[in-house]
Amino acid sequence: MINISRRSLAKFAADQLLIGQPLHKTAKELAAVLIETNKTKDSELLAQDVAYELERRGKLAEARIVSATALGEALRQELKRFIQQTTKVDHVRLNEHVDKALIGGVYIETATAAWDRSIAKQLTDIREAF
Amino acid sequence: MFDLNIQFKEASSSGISSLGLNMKSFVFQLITFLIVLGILRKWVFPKLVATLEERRKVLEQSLEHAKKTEETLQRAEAQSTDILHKARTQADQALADAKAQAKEIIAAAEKNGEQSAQRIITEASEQLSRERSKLRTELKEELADLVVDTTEKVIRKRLSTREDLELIRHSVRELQR
Repeated sequence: MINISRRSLAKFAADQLLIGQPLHKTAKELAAVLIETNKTKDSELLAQDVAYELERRGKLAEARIVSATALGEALRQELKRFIQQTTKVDHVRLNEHVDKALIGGVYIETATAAWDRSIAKQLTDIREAF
Repeated sequence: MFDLNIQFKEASSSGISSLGLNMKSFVFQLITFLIVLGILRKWVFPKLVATLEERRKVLEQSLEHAKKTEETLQRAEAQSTDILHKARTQADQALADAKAQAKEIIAAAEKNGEQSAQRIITEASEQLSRERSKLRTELKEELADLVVDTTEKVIRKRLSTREDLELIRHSVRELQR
């Protein structure tokens, strides 16, 4: 049985995607390796590692955006610009989530960085400051 | 003897008899007296003198003994006085020592008591300070919870969608700076 580290596998997947291999084909190859090595539980972590590799190489930043209110298009574009500038990538993809627990504001997370500008976080900071 | 009687007769008739004394009787009594005196000197007086001398010696010894006893008594009295004086002096000294020691003990006890009291006061003060600090912290935490909870409720109630989007936009612009 072959034993490939998750990091190596993520690098391999990033390489494949960057040379233009279709995403579904790369995904199939990764799934095959995970099944072969009995590491199917690591699929989520592997996906994060691939996202990290792509972001690190300046190609794609997959950002998780959490807010209490659904974002408008203008704001979405503004967020993309911000993420593109800070992570220095060619493309940005947003995964939006609405969570009322945030009360207000926004939480932004990429493979390499995170920003919490939610009201819930600020209230927690105030509580901890006491 | 006869001549003597004659002489006595003559004498009595001449000298002594003129005094009214019987010469014969006188001579006889004189002889008797001398005999008695001789007997006494021979057998009675020596014993009597010896007895008296012995008595005198006994008396002298008794006197001497009494004198010695008196002297001994005086010495004993002097000694007892001296002992009493020494004992009194020692007792006074012991009493003075005991008083001084008692004073020292009392002073030490007072000092210890003062130190203990000071320590208790300090500990109580520290405990009070800690309690106060703890209480203040708890109060602050409770106040913070209250403020945050109230703020959260107010914000949830008052924050509109438009305001939230504006807030997000503002946050992103701040991050870009």
